[in-house]
Amino acid sequence: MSIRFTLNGRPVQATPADAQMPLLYLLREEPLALNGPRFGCGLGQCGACTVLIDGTAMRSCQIAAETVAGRAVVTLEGLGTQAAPHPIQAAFAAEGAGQCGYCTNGMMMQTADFLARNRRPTEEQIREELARNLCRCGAHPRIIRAVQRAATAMNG
Amino acid sequence: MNAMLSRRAALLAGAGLFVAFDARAQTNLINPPVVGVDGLLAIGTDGTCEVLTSKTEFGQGIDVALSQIVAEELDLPLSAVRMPHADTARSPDHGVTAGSLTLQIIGPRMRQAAATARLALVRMGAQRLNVAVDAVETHNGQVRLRAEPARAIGYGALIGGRRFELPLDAQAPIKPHAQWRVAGRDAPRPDLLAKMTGGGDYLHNLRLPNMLHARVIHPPGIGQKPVAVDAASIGSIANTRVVRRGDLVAVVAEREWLAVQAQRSLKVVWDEGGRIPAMADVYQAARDAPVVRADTLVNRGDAAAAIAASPHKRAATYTYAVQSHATIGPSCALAQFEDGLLTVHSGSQAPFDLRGQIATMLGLAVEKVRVIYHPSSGCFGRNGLEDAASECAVLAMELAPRPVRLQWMRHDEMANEPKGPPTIMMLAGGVSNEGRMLGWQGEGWVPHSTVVLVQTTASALVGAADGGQPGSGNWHANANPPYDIPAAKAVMHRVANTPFRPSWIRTPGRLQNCFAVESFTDELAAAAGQDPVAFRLAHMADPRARAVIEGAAQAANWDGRPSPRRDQSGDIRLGRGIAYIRYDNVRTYAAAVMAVAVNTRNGQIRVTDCWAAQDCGQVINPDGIRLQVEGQVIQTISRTLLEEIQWEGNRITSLDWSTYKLLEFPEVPAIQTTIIDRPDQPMWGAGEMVTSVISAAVGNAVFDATGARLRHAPFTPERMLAALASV
Repeated sequence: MSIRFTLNGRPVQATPADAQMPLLYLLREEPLALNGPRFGCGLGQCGACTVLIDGTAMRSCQIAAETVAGRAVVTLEGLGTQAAPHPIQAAFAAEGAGQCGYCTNGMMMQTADFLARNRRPTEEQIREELARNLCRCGAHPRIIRAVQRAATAMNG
Repeated sequence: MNAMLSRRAALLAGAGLFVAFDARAQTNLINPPVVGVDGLLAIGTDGTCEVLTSKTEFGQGIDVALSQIVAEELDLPLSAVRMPHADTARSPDHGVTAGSLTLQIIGPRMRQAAATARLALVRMGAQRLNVAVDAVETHNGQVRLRAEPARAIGYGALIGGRRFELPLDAQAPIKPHAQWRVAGRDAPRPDLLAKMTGGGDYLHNLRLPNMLHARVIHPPGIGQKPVAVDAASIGSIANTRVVRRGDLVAVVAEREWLAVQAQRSLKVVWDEGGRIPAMADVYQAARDAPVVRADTLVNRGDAAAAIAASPHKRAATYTYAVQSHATIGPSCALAQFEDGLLTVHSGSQAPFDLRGQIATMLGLAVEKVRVIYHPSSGCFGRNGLEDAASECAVLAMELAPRPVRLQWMRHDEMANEPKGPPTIMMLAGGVSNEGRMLGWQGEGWVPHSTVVLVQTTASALVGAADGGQPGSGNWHANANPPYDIPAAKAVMHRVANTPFRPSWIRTPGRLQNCFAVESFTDELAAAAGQDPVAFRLAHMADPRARAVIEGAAQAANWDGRPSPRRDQSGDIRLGRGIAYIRYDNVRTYAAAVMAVAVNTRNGQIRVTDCWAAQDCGQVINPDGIRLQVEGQVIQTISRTLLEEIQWEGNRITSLDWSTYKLLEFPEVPAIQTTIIDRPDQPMWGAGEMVTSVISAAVGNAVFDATGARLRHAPFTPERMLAALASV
């Protein structure tokens, strides 16, 4: 059964394979074929699959695709593009806040939600906010700096 | 040389300026290439340059560093140099990307190749401008008149539509360090913004037209074989089916989620499988395993007699747990067999080795297999990427000509990727009343392999050899004390096997061995009532070694005194510790001071600060080094405090991030990196060295804080409390 929802600002229609199919799989397969949200654990433990649903950062591996019908989903691609990056993406690139880049989607999507709630976070608040997002490469110090840089940029 | 160039010509048809170098004799300490041509640099008619190598960029920043070297020597802007991803149909074989050897081995050759090209361009430019060679210079991709810089010709225009093939000129002059403008400075990674916006080349994002999705049903326990597969058990899941070859059982589906569902639903009956030692017995089992050979790393004087005659004697046993590479993105591969050619897409650090293993396993000629590298989730050694690739290759043969994508699930990765092995080292030492180490004895047990290929899961499951062995070697390094000790003996027993396919995991052996050696050095310092930094310096003449030890200590504002501290009370105890290594005893120097806070009530250890110092010779990209150091510090604190593979019977039970925990943001310490640049020295690697010293430095800091010595990593709260109870 197909569902309609808003994806990165545009109306889309897609068909989950079954009622349990997580949103992550729908977003990554054709025809949506997005690269931002990534499969890391399928258990809601690592954060690599994070997307915004109605503005709230959620683990797309834990959300049944069916349940986003009528809602607004934003992925990394919806934040900005290489030509016109979102301040968070620009900040992560400027700080070199990633090695392999696998976890970075989750870091940025969590940050997008976070900075909407907390415009001037302390370092400790950033650490707490990202505590459930795992990074194996050890880019943490640069990710923290990137969030601070993004906050500064977004406060203009 | 001519044959070599003509082979290149076939691969890279067209105009341009090509430089080849034959690095066979000394290319790769780990994995000598099997082909003769080992390098190529190509300047196209657009004036840009490609660096061709099988070395792979997976986030560690070698594409930037190699590009900086080439751009510097060619007087090109950094943006005009590219390093295409490895492709066995196109790239020269420089062997596996491992051992932090890329810059050390490939860097100088790339530099000389670029110098060769630059010299040729200068000659061509002088001829074109009708002046003597010394009347021109290179600048920003052009050859120009020194006296009249406006008269200039771009490299592309000089090359025109012609083709130039140059052998490496070992005499081509190298630019003096003082003239560097691109190398030796921070350079950002060019791929990052694409990655940050969902683009760029990335293995997991690759989609082939009309591809199938697969999941392999891995045996739940070590060595288990399928007795019965009930294909009807997935009959209700649309468009799915079972594919089986030998003991490799997989499900394939038109849509990925349905493959996941089928993997969960397929009923397989397994036999009992093999037996492996219990967790508590695994170190003794390593000691009891058949010894293939024993390496004596140092043997001078009569160590046993020297220890016996020492006024202060110590003996201790150190062990290091089985660990996972713990990649965040589980292994993945895509493959297609079409028109007699098998194409495999992988994030393997060793694309040529992987090609050979797959070809051998499948009985295909090696030229009928092509492995294309794509950046992937950080693997930090030989993890499951090659296994997924080989499994996917088997499936592609069964499903030809359709392409197939195999994605391992989290539990596939944790259970089936090869692991860092259990290691054990027994040490004895003696020290004088004045604080001189008089005797040292060390004996360790580590895995051994006679080949540098780990056998893939697919090879074992389909029952076809692939040239690999279920294990890895090169775990013995740095098991010797690095200090001036009159009588010292260190022997490493290389045993035939340890469980879980022992595999290279960042800093193989050096981390585990340095943990034992540098912790025990601290034990001897404490036995003699000596300050740990002063004690090390008193036994160390090498000025570069002294410089990193002193560099870390100064950055940390080290308070010289013996450990442990005796001035604390209350639940939280603070301490600082140091450790040092010279990697493989012959290259990069590293030292780190760690500060810890130990909660003596619950056994929690928190690392609050790290001051790392490193001398990797001539520095190419300082920020790349800092990123690598930070990553090593954080990853190794995680391994030191948290990480241990768990198993019951023959089944691994730590299958997710709640049972195999990684360090999280709130526990990440402040990190300060001191880089000691040696512009006139050879360049060495920076990707693994600091890792070596972290566990020992943390353990030494814990001892300083509490007087309790931790000799088994990871330092779990239970082990911390047990150690406190025995103080």
